Amino acid sequence: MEITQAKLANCAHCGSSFSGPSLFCCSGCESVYAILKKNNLLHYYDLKNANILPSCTIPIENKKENFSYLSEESSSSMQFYLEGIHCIGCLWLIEKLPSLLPGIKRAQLNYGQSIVTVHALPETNFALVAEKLESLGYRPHPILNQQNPWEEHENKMMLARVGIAAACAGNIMLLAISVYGGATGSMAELFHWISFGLSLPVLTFCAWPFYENAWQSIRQKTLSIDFPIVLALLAGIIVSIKSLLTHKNEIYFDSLSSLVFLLLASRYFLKRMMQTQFHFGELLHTLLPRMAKVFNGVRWEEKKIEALQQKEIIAIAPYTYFPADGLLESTGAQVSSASLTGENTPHTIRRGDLVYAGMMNEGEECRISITALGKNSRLGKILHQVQAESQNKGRLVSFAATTAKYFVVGVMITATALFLCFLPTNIEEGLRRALALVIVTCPCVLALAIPLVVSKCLAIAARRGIIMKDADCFERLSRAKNIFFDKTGTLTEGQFSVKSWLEESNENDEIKSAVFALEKNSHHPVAKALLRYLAPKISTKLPEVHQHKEILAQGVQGKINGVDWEVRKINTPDIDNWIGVFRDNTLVARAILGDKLRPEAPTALKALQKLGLKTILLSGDQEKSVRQVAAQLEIPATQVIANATPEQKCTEVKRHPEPSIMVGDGANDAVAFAASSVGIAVHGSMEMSLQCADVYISRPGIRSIVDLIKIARESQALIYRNFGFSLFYNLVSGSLAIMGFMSPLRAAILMPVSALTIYISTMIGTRILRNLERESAA
Amino acid sequence: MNILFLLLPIALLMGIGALGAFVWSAHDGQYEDLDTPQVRILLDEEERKKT
Repeated sequence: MEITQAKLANCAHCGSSFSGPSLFCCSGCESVYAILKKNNLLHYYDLKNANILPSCTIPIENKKENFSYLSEESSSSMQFYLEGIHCIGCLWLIEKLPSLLPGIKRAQLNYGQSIVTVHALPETNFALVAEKLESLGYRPHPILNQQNPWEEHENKMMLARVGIAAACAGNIMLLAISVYGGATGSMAELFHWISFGLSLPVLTFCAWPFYENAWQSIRQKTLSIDFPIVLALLAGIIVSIKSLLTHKNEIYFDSLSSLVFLLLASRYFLKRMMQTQFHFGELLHTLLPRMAKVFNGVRWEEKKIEALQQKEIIAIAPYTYFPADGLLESTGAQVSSASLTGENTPHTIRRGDLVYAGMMNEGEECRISITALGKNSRLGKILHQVQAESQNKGRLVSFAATTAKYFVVGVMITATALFLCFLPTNIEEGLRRALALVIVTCPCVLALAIPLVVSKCLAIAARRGIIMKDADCFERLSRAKNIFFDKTGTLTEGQFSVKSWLEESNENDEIKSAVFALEKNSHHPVAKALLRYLAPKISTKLPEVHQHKEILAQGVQGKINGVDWEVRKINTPDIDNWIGVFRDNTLVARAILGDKLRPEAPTALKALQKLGLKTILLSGDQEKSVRQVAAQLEIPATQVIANATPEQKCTEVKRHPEPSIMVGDGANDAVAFAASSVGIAVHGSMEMSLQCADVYISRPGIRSIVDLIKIARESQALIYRNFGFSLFYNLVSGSLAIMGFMSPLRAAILMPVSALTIYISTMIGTRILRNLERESAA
Repeated sequence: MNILFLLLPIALLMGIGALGAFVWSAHDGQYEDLDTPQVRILLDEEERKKT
């Protein structure tokens, strides 16, 4: 009888509600509590419950990542992006890292970005640091190849530029107002010269990035949006200096300075939003172990993977990845190609069968003779293909670039035409009007609108735990027509879970604690699933097991209180795994294990279909399980592809010419990521696929993808609306300039007002964006 | 109004001084992280309350 009485309790660690007599909702939470208790850090719970900041109610996942590649890093500090930082307790705990590990000098958390900088003594093994962070419940993503000092310097300069531009522009405007207000004579002269002096740093040092970009765009024969800005600046400078020297009144220093300030400020904000970027070391290393046991003819020795050679025989321990392609030398082995194909049920291979780097040994230690290494292994070739695809990634010509082109051409033609009209009659007037036109129709609002909207949308996405690699992801997302899903780990939870548990008779905890005690030390996916399911359901002490024996990939057996117990696989009619619990050779309980569909997957997929996206299931797993999942999600059979190798996934994505999104989590999705317009890596992805993806969802589940698409589309709508305002202002000011009515005063008013309109329009956003902002998930 | 000939340079000097202070603090990295210090202050208070 199953337990029908669900007694709801709150996990003592994470606070989420669960049904079960124990104190913790899962062994993950329990282990974190144990660590905190052992190190006298229980103050964490006081802080958490003080509710100073929204606190976390997500149970700790127990997936362990292989960080051994970090032990090679030899520096005194390293940065990690941490998942799961929510509350002030987390901040306190992370900064207590020095007391948890030897050799750590300081750990400093940037709460807003969830990035911790760990300063340690030289020669510290950062792999241990990463493992410690993970054991505390914060999955770390190492940020290797940190910002080089030049980049940091650039960032600081950017901020300095914004500050200087703001200060000078403000003061220039004060002086300008006095002149517009009626100051004349030597006082006005003085003000003009001071304005000129104040504008010098702004128009040279502060505006430098614009000049640089415009020059670059000329050299590359493209027209970026900086080009018309620079034109406007130069025109304004020339006119203003000329007026200064000839005592006329056409001084534009105030408009130019405020223009530079507004543009710099919006770019700086966008840059700050884009700070979170993952930099990874060589892709291959994140997956495979660093060392391998090699037989050199006499005895076994440890060698670095790079030093291995073809035909050498290496031994692979249980539950480690094969570091190279090879032929099996042992009589038999159990391997899982989960990371390559997504199929997470181990299968048996015989001597002479081929294994690939990236497969995992699910059985006893086995030996292979190497056939291909590193770049020549299948995995290496896949990664090479990924890199090749990324180069060819058909970048959609962005909206901004297209408008910039048309804009520049349009303005130049109008200005030249205007000048030519006045050529025979009044050259000076013609020059004056043409230059006024160029200055005033500068696309300051265009250059403002897009960065502001993108920063806003990045912030909304970030609050949902969505991290984007570059700013024009939103545009590509909004244009997507197809969305490809991987199955294992993306639409399903990616690990075995107990789908149902049947006991012959409901006698308290005896059977459950027996199974738990028997499976406690096994690493098999089935064991882990059973442990996870049973942990919250057991409140009695675990019994002692004698004569414990694990028959790899088959089951476990042992003696408890003199009685023989066995937990093993039993035959099943379908694809799920059935596990039988035997006491004294009689079946007393049965568990059905499978890869559960994520609970939000059906609604998420329906929502995506409603948004107009074609959903396609693209999996490396076998036909039967893929079809089962497709049926549960109501995906038509024509849009289901099973048994796809990583290369085949890529081909399938490329077969669809319209922009596509690929959602996945494993090494087998890496090439497809590169081939699609936008690659989304879901929570729990291998570090390797994070490198190849454009978007990373750092919270479990795919619900946020629906929100992401909505955000992307709204961002485009908002950009178009801002563009509409911009067009309106440009037409108005352009006409005024053509008709000769543009004066520095009018320019000085129109520019800030137009910028303010854009700013307010962006802040107000659209109705849908406001709703999304309001429900930013905890 | 001739006093402005004296006031303007003084005001400008003060402005430049403030600007210099800003540029210095930006270079010092004080604007790198604006969110965490707000919260870190509270932490110390908590710990002192305990002891």
